[in-house]
Amino acid sequence: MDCSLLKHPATLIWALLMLATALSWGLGADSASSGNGVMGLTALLMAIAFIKVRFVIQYFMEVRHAPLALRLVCDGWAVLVCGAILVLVWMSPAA
Amino acid sequence: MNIRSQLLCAWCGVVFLVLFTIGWVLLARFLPPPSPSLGAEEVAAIYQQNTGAIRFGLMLAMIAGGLTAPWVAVIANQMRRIEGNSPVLTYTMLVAGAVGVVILVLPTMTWTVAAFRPERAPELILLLNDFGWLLFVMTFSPFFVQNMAIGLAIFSDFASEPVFPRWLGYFNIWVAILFVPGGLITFFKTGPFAWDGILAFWLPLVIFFAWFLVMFVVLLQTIRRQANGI
Amino acid sequence: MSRSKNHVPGEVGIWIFILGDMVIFGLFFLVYVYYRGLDIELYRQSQLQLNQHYGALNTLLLLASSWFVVMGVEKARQGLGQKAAPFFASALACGLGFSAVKVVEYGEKLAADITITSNDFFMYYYIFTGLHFLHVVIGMGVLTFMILKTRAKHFQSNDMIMVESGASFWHLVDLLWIVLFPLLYLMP
Repeated sequence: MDCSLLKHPATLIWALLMLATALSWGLGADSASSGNGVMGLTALLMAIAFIKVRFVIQYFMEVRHAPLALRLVCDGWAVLVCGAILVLVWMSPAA
Repeated sequence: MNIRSQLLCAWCGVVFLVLFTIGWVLLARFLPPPSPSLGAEEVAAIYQQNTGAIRFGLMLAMIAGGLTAPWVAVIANQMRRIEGNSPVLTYTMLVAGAVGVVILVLPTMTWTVAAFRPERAPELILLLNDFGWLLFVMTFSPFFVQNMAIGLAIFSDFASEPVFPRWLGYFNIWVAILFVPGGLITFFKTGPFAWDGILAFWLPLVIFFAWFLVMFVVLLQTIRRQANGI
Repeated sequence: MSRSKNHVPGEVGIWIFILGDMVIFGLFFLVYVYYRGLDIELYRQSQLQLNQHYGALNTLLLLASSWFVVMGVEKARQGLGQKAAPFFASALACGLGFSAVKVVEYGEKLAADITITSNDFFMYYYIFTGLHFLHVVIGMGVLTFMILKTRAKHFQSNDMIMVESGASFWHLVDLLWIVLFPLLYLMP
């Protein structure tokens, strides 16, 4: 095993992604018992998910080295889908 | 080279879209589809109230369906240029495309049978209506095979001046996968995967129309390049 | 190794497919969230019947596989095809692990008589995870192809574009699951 792999930026990103997954996992487990703060918890879970998505796109798919158009489309997708999910949850009768 | 015949065949695809839209959408008013959750009386009423326009509209849609035959042929002709001596993917596309023609024509005939005697027992109208819609929306497999064959043929083109651009291969495979949710309508009477649902019906329908337009534009370019001997 | 600001990973065509898939799955997510809002109790009750640990485990497996793929691409880019192949093989092993968990999970649900027609939540559960699983299966085929490509003696720099395309597709599989996991398993 050579050390250069561990120093690679993707390795740090990967560690962060694993941590974020553990965090969501814990939050999800809590949500089973507590009934309040639906909107806040949803927003937190979605924020974590789409930050993870952006890391995957930028560092794993290497879109950060890609032309501006591709970067904009990818970021636009993440913002739009995440935003629309939150708006739909917020507008739903239960929230 | 039969450039003119090829162009004629390619234009048939566009004429199909226009004629089918006039007949099936504007006259028969089959868009949006009647919900699969409607009862027999309600479905029968659709055929009883709009009988004349449905009959004529479906006739136009039936005529339109036949025009996809030359359309499939011109795609096959260009694919054959990629594959050369043993054009198996071309044959696959041709056979699946021919079945596709049948699948476009048969539902129009099934609905026509319903509109032929709209005064018959509502239960029977319901049966024919179901038969037509299931046939029309659920049968994704020949279209799936057709688009996959086009995509794979494009990927196998390693010529320095390929017949089709490679992105068209990815596009065709993407379209093929989008047809798949149509296969789920057998399970649902309401919701996004029913035959009037957004994911099983509207999405594949829009993509199907867009596929014709994209293929048409690329075909015109390809035929022009062939005419110029490139 | 410095790369320009204008390098499209893989061939341009694969991005038609990737972005197209992202748009479609984006639509899936929104349809699901909309209908979920109309009958939130049913969805919540059904969600509690899922095993969150399977979902989380699969997220970790896909993240690990993505890391292996990044490292493999790095090695291949340095012209070390032979060293890249084991990384892609490890990613494939993670993919197989994901599949095994999925099969066990589906098996448990089916054994408990929970099917696609049980209720609306399970309809989405089976269809979305099923379509995603289709991507995993295709992706494992792509990884196999990448292993064969990089192990070949005559691995050349123009094979690199194929490797990058395949890697981008595999990351897409990971990316879609990252959103599906909280939507199906965790959302309150």
